[in-house]
Parts: sequence; structure tokens; C-alpha cells
Amino acid sequence: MGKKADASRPLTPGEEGSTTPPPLAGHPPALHRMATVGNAPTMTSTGGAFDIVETYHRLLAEDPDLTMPVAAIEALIEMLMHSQAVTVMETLDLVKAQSDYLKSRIPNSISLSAGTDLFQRYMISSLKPSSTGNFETVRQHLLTNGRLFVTRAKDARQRIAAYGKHFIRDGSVVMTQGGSRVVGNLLSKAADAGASGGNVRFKVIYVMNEGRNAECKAIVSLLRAKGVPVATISEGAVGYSMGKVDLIIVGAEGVVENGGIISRMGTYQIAQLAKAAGKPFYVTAESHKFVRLYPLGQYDLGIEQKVIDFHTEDDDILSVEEKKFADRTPTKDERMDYFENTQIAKTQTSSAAGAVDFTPPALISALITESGVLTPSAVSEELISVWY
Amino acid sequence: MLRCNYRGGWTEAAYKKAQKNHSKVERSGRTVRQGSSEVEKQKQPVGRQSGNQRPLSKPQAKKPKAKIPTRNWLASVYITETETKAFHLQTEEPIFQKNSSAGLAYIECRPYCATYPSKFETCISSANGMAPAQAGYAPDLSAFLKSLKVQSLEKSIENLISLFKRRQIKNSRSCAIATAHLLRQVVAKSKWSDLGKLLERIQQVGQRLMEAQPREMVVGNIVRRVLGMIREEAKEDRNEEFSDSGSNSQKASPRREPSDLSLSKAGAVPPIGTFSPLRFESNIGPDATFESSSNDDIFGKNSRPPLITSHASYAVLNGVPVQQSMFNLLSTNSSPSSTPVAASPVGKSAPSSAAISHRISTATLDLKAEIMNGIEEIIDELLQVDEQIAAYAQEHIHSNEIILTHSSSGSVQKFLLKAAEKRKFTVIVAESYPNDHEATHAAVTGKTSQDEKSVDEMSVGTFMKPLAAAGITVVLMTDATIFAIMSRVNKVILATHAVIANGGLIAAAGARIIARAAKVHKTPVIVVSGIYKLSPDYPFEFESLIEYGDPGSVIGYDDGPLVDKLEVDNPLFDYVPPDLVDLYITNLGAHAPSYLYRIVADHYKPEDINFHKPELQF
Repeated sequence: MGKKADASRPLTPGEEGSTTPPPLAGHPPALHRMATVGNAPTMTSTGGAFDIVETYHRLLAEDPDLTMPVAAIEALIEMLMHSQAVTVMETLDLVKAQSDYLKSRIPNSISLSAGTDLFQRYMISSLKPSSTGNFETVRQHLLTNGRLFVTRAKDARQRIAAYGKHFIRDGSVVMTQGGSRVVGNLLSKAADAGASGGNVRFKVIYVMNEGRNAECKAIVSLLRAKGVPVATISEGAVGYSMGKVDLIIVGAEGVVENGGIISRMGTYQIAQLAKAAGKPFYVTAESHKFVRLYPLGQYDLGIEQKVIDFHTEDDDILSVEEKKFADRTPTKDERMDYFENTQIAKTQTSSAAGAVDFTPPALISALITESGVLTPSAVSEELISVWY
Repeated sequence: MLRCNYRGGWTEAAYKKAQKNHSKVERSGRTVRQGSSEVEKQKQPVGRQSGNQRPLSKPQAKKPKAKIPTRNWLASVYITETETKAFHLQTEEPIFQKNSSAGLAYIECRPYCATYPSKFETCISSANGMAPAQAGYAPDLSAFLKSLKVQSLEKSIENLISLFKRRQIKNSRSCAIATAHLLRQVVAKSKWSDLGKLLERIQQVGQRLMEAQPREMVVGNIVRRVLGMIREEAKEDRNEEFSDSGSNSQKASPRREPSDLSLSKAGAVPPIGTFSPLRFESNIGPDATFESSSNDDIFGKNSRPPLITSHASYAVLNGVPVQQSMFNLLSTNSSPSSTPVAASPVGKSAPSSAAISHRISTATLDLKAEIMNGIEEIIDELLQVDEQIAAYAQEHIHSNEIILTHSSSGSVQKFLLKAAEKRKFTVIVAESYPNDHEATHAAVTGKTSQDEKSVDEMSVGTFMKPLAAAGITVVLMTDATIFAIMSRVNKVILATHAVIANGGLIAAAGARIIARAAKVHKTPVIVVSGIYKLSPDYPFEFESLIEYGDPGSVIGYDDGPLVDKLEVDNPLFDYVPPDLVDLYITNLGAHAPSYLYRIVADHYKPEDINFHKPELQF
């Protein structure tokens, strides 16, 4: 892609300027998408030009530690590098159009939109005539400090770990889920504290998600390598295990305005079980994941997820065994999965594997961010201070 | 002169006997290094005698009963202004003598009694400095405040630390007042030439005070309030300085035109291009902790006119910790380290001409007065807080209501009395046995015991009309009946020891039972608390906040057989989680528990919150 980007250098300035008019504010998401999908790729139309979606994917692939919002910001910065826009409005238009295009091309754009929104707000506020007014310096600042933002975002993770590790006390049992890097970081930091003479000995119950097995396994083996006893359980066993758990720490893809989180499918039910059992439920998230979104419920996230999919015809024909199974009480041999953890049938479709759910703020004890431990209600204030 | 039996209360008779043998005193003890740091590990002497600190604060002796097993009484200790002596109680044999009463003396006793560990140590604080020359009076808040004027600063600090440690000043308000007064002395007496030094000094003192009694969270709150106030002054000072700078452009002032980049604060930082990422690394210097919050983090000082941007104004408006906010990711300055206070160490190392130093010295005098004023304001707030809270009483208590409250608290009592001026209602008081029942009875009936008066003269209870005299119906009941009575209660009003940023609170033991019972009966729970009790600390472990008191008040030490067989715990506090509280009434008004974080943000500067925990500073 690097070469490709170079190829896009000799573009005529006029072309960059001719972005489509940004969609009107207040458009419902579907309309919005229709308006942007077709014509937004201003620079892709010329073949070897800059493609923000590709850049975004490349950035994520290059650096596995990168979060989606930061990757989006990086992609936008790269886009700025290629653009020849000379006026403020032109640039803002371009950024907006490209963000919308990027959002429309990524199936779950919630986390990503936190990054693009932050970037746009930053552009708008720093290009205000009242602040610096200097377009070129802002542009230069962004272009030269691209790497810095990434390191800063990663530093945020370290900070969160520094705050969060205090939640893990000697002898506690932590339940966690999903492949969140922040949580992994936090737990390994807590484990390091134990290894370096501290007396924090804790255990981890890891809720495995079949759709993301590789990710989960990586974190589990990382923790085990640090000497932390880890038990892996299936999602069905969360309620069963809750009695042994002292606290739950999960990551989040996005933190919404009311302080709730959007996170891997399965987080919501863990949070509910935790609430029912009276266990503290903590969320770790960098503040660049705060999204300006106010979901009213699970089905109001603004993205389409095919989790509940009704059918009348079977996906595949049942085997003779399976047919027998339905008719009578299973024998012990057939119920191996209860007694030994054999492969559990992968019923999940690929679309459900990347699915997210919404955990309302009432179930969250606290958010551990790089600016400290926040109550869910503090999120809206952070967002307001950026947007208004 | 202070007298105490090492293992129990006070005995006049034993003392007199011992005095007869006074002349036979032989030196057999050993003193160890003096110093407050030793006290911590001495705090748990042997098994069941954790009460040994209590007698010091309670000069009104309760006579030991005859049936007390002899081995419970090991030594009686006498502390006068000139000497410290210890005698065995039965044999009256002298154990220890020290011809000085200053500081702390550690006593090693001989193995008098085979059933006890042969060696034990205890710490005895001398009468000197603790209770200034008033024989028979335990040191308390008013004694401390009096001594503050005459004593040297370091001695006052030591004095307060030991008062905190021995719980001779307890009750969060007294602790807050003592801390504020001490900090005022620190500002007044210690030598400081710039605000950075002053902040550092106050942080040092604050840290010592907080370590002396970590569970008195108000101490930390007051220290942070003072630190925040000084930072505020520093900012104002700097702004003024900037406005009349002109000739002073040499002075390291953070907001500067791009032209004098090389002269600005970055004097210590090699100016490698305006936006080189290197700058961010090098800016994070050791001075980071003294820096004021950078409001201009959006685009850096160098590229911007000195006026505040829209974002800075947000910060000023809301007091939001902008340097940590979301824009931080993209901003130029990675940390608050980019705007030093007027004369932080870096500022001083920057070109400092004689004129500047002169300027600083004259400015310091003004600043000192202003900071002293600021601390006075905090003290005033502490003195008025109960009245301010009580002003909201009539909005919350209606006629013919049945109110349940718990333990004795000045704030709650004032609150109820204020409502009683206009309305008739019923108050049910749970007595909170065994730690606070006497004070609770006093609050209800008005009989203040001799004891309480001497412990804390400032205690509000002594000045206040008892509830029963206010013309309202008062029912006093035991804690055990809380759940039974809850179905008839309209409102629960709780006092608090400390409020935590997550909306939970630490209150007298029994508060959680009440809150829980109220939850079951859907009875609203109102917490009455001054803002000064609101702590920005996020406790990672709530158990650590619970203080355990003298188990002797549950089962007396005289109950030998039981004491031997049981392990008795006496927690003084309860943690009440935020979801059990419906409303907080503070001197600023009524707030939902979920709103408290906002008040925290308004009252404390983010850089002060973890000043005592270096591992949480970034």
C-alpha cells in the first residue's frame, strides 16, 4: 500500500477539492449510508489513488496493538498527507466525507467512529478562527505527529493498567472475557507486580468465546506464562462460576454517552449475572473510545447484526445420531461435553462472531480510563466537553 | 501528669502505692530510637491489649474491679513532665524509668508473668507536648489549636501526627479543622520563595498527616483543597504577571508568542523545531507534579496567542481535567507539564535576573496573605458547614413524618433541629451500641457526659439542644430493631464519616444495615454530609477503609474467661455502596450519588488527587 500511496501523490489539486457535499445533518443512518457509499471514494475513482478503507485495514494489520479508533485517526492523517486541500472548509469536507465512507465500509463502525468523530472535532475546534486560525500549522502538527498519537494511545493502555491493577487484590479471582488488549495488559501488569516481590496472587477465570478462540488463547497463554492460574470456561458456565468470582474486568469497543458500553457479544449477560450476584463489574477503556451514541437498547446500536436469524429450513441435514438424540434421554457417552470439555458445536455463524452487545450503565461499577476511575455518568461530561 | 495502667484503666491506689516505693526505682528498661515511624509497628503490642492507648485519652479513671485476674495487670506507667516510670502493679517493683518525657519511650518489660510473652513493647507518648502542662486533661483539638501558636512548626506537625495516631482527635470534622490550622501554620512559618516549593512542602506535610491516619480521609481532602487553592493562586498570579509583563519577557512565562520560543519555559528544553515529538518526551520533567493543569493543551503554547481557546474555557467553566480529556490524544502537549507555575524549579533555572527575584519576593508576600486567606475560608467553611446543610432541612422533612437516624452526629442533629423549628415529626434514633451509644443518648436526652466534654470541647453536641427538647417525638431504640421498624419509617437520614467519589460512604457501623433495610422497604435514604468529607480517592478495596475499634467495649477486659476464648471484633465503620443511597445533602445542596464525581472534579485538582501515591502519578 505504501507504493500505492506514493503513486497517488501527483494528483491534481482540483480533484481533491471536488468532494461530494457532506450528507445533511440529521439523516437516519440508512439514508446516510445510501448517500455516501456510492460517491464518497473521491480518490479511489482514479485507480491507484489513496483508499482510506485499505489504509485502515493495512494499519490494523501492521500493528496488532492498534485500536480501531486510533487506526481510523491514523488513516485520516494519511489521507490528509495525500490531500492537496488548501482551505479549511475543503479539508473539513474531505475529512468528513472520507470518515463517512470509511464508516460505511466497515461492518461494525461504532468503535471506529469514535476515532473519526474525535478527529473531526479536533479539526473543527483547532481550525476555529478564535483559536489558532493557522491552517498550515494544524495540518503540519497532525502530519508530523502521527506516530506520537499512536504511542500516546498505547501509553493510555499502560496508564489504565497502572490504575486498574490496584483493583486486583491478593487472593482475588478475576473473571474476564474477550480478547481486550487493555484487560490483558492490566492483568499481566498485576501479575508482574506479583512476580517482582509484591504479594498479589490472583486467579483468572477466562470466558472463552468460540468465535474468537485464537485471541482468547493468546491472552490465556500469556497469563499462564506469567504464572497466573487461569481457568477457561465456556460462556454457558458464567452463571455457574460467578459465585467464585471477586470481580469482573472487561474491555469495551466503545463507551457510549450514558456510560454504557458496546462490547463483545456476551458482555451484557456477564454484567447482568454479576449484578445479580453483587459482584463489581469494571470496564477498561481508553477515553478515545468514547462514542457519541445513545443507544436505547440492544437493537438500537445503529449497526446491523445478524445474531437472531429465524429460519424454517435447517442449515444442514441432521445426522442419524442427532435425530436419535432428539428423541430420547442422552446417554453418558453422548453427553461428553458435560463431563469433559470436548469441542462444543460451533453453532455460531461468522457474522455473530464479530457481534457486539450493549451493556447499560446501571450494570457497570466503574470505568477504568487513563484519566482515572470514572463512574459511568462521568462519560457524558467528557463527551460534552469535546462536542459543545 | 499522665498516669495509666499499662494493661487497663487507671488506678489511683496503685499509683500511691507505687509512689511510696518511688525511691527504689532502678533502671531496667531500655529505650529505643525515638521517632514516629516506629509507632506503626508498635501498634499491636500483645494479643488482647489493644486498649492500651485508650487510657491515655481518658483520664477519668474507672476503677479496676476486684475480680480482675492479676495477669491482666502488668504495669502502671507514670508520665510526668520530667520523667517516665513504670511499676509492676502487684509487686510494685519498678520496671522502667526514664528521666525525660519527650518523644516516645519504648518499654521492654521483664517476664513477670509466664503466661504472657516474655518480651513485649509498647509505646508511650510522653505528656510533654501532647497535653501541654494540664495535668489530668487529655490532649484534644482545642489543646492542639492552642499549642499551635506557641510551638515550633515541626513540633506541631509531630504533635498532630501523634494525636491522629492515638485517635485523640477523631471525628472527621475535628480532624479537618486541625489539618487546616496546621497547614495554615505551614504556610505562615515555613520559608518558601516560590509556590513550587510551597506546594512541595505542603505535599510533604500532607503525606505525613495522611499516613498517620489513613482512614481519616478528610485529612487528605483538606490537604488537597489547600494544594488546589495554591495552584489556583499561582495561576492567577501568573496571569497577572503576564498581563503586565512587557519588560519581563525574560521571565519564563508559559504563554508566549512563537517568536520568543527559545526564551520561554522550554529554556531547559532544546527547541528542536516547534512540533518535534522529542519535545514531549523532554517536557516530562521532574517538575511535572508541581505544574498547573494545562488548559492550553490543544495546540501548545508556542503557536497560540495567550488568550484561552474554546477548550481552555471549557476547562475553566467546568473545571474538567482537560489535560486528561479526550483531545489529549491529539494535542501537542502530552502532559500537564507544559505550563509551569510562576516560579517552578524550571522557571527558576531559566534566565533569572535580579529584577525577577526581587519581583518574586515582593509577590510572595501578597501571595502568602492570599493563601492564608484561602485557608481561612476553608476553616470557615468547616465551621459553618452544619448550619449550611441544615438550611435544606425544611425541604426534606415534612410534617408528621417518621424519620430514622442512627448514632450521634452534629450534622444530623442540627438538620433535625432546624426542621423541628417549623414542623412536628417523629424521629427514631438507633443507638449504635457499643461505640457511640453514650453520645447518642446524650444527643437525644441532652445529658452530655463529663467524658465527652473533655474529649472534644469543640464537639457540637455540647452546644446543641437535645432532640427531645425540640418539641418533636423522639424514640430511642436498639440497632436490632431497625428492620422491624423500617416498614413504618418514611425517611432515613444518615450521617457519614467519609464519602467516596463513587457515591458510596463510610459511616458508623450499622449504617449499612439501615440502608439495606431501607432498600428492602423502598424507604428513601438521605445522607447528610459536608463537602469536605467528599474524598477524591477511589478506594480499590473497601474493607481497607473500615476501622476496627476497641473490642473492650463489646466484651470488657475484665471478663477474663471470655476474653481468653473469643476473638472479638469491633468495626467502627460500615461501607454503604452507592446504590443504597438515594440522595446526598451537602452544604452545596442535594445531589444524586452518581453526581458526586462532578463535585469531586470541582473541588480537587486532578494533579492533587494522587499526590501521595507516586505509583499513580503520570
